Order: sequence, then structure tokens, then C-alpha cells
Amino acid sequence: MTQQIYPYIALCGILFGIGLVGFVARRNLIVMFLSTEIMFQAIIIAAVAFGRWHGQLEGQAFALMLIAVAAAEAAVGLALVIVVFRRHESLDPDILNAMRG
Amino acid sequence: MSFSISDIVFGISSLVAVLSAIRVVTHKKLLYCALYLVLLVLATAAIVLQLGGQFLAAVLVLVYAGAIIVVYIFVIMLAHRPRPSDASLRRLLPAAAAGAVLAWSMVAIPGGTGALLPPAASQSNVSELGRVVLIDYVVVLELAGVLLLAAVIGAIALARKAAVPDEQERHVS
Repeated sequence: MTQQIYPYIALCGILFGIGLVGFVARRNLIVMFLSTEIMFQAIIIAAVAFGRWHGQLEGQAFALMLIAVAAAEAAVGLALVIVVFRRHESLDPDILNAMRG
Repeated sequence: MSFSISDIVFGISSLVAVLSAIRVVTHKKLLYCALYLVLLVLATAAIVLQLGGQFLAAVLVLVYAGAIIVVYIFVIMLAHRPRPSDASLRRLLPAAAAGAVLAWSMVAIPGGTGALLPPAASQSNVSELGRVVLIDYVVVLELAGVLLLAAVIGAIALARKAAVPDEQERHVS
């Protein structure tokens, strides 16, 4: 019984699309970061599936590095959320328009 | 056409993953969004386990569901102020179009281009994964450690610097 790689890539695309919609459509900084986490999950699935496809473990090694990058992104992003909330008492990204030209 | 057990596992966990991702994006309460993200991470771990990544599945559950989501929930408790609705309908249509195009471009990759290879002979591949990470990609691993350290220091600096001027402003006014 051989498995195809196709369903994994399809799942990756669907999850990434859902994350993209959430990132653009929701106007809340925390939900936007949660949407990036959805996209990270999609990419982890794709990396592991492609690594399995090639019969090597590099895909899982890259997925480990992806988790490290996701942790760093969460740390910095949530610190920024705290700073924004202290300054503006709101999580709406539309109020951050000081640098709009 | 017969379905093997791994096919059934993949079907159920991918269904759970897609549904919980939709709930993360559409739910109104932020805490429930984070909890549905935990469900999504668990489904992802099941898929990774079904692909033969035992260690990676354990790391996903421990680090993602155990640590990163807890940080999110901390911030939601600290910084959330409920609002009636934050979905912007003006942006929803282009966002849905972009997401659908992107998902379709991945789904439309012609099927049957490659069969997955059978898993490695040994029951557990942790030692081989350790060899790959700690010998072949040790520089990448060190860089990831430096990146994490820099991110944590940056987060502390950001959160502290912002606190001081705000308190001074409050004292002045």
C-alpha cells in the first residue's frame, strides 16, 4: 500500500488559505498572530510530507527549526501586542496609523 | 478501493485540523480561538506521527500546545478587552479570494506525481533525526538558539521600555 503525497499538500494549501483569510479579515492583533500559527502548522505538515517523499529526515529537521522560529515570532509579536495595548488600550491594528503616508 | 488504518487516521485528523482552523478564524471569543488552536496542533501532531515523525510529534505537543499557546493565553488574559465584533467585511471578500486562490493553487497540483516511500526500517527514527540535526545541520541549530535568545531579550526590552514612559506620562497628567 503506497500513500500519495497529494492529500498532504492539499491539506497544507487549505490550512494556509484559512490562515491567510484570518490574518487579513480579522481586526484583532492576537487573532492575527493565531492565524500565523495556523500557517506555521500548514508549513510543518508540508515540510514533513516532502521529507518523507524524498525518504530523508531533513524535512523533520527543518520542521524543528520552524518550531523555533514560531516560538521567537510569538515572543516578539506578543511583546508588541502588550506594548500596543498599554499605549492605546485596544487591539485594533487600524489605530496604528502613525506611519501612514 | 480499500482504506488502510493510516488513511483513516489521516482523514480524521485532517478533518479535525481544517474544522478547528476555521473555528480559530471565525470564533468571537479569543480564549476559544486559542483553545481551538490547541486542537489544530494536536491534529497536526497526529498527521506528523502518521508520517513517521515520532519525535517531531512529541515536540509539537510539548512546545506548541504546551508552551507557545500558554503564552498566547497569558496575553489574552492580560490584554483583552471584549468588543462586539472585529471582523471587517470590507476586507473579508478580497481575503477569501486570495485564500481560495492560494488553496486552489496547492490543491490543483496534479495528483499521482509521487508515491510516498515506505517508512524507515527501524521502529523509531529519533537517533537518525538526532544525527541529522546535531551533525549535518548543527550550524542551523546554533543559529536557531541564537535567534531564540535574541527574540526573548527583544521581547523583554520591548515590554520594559514601554512601561516606563507611560507611567511618567500618567504622573505628569
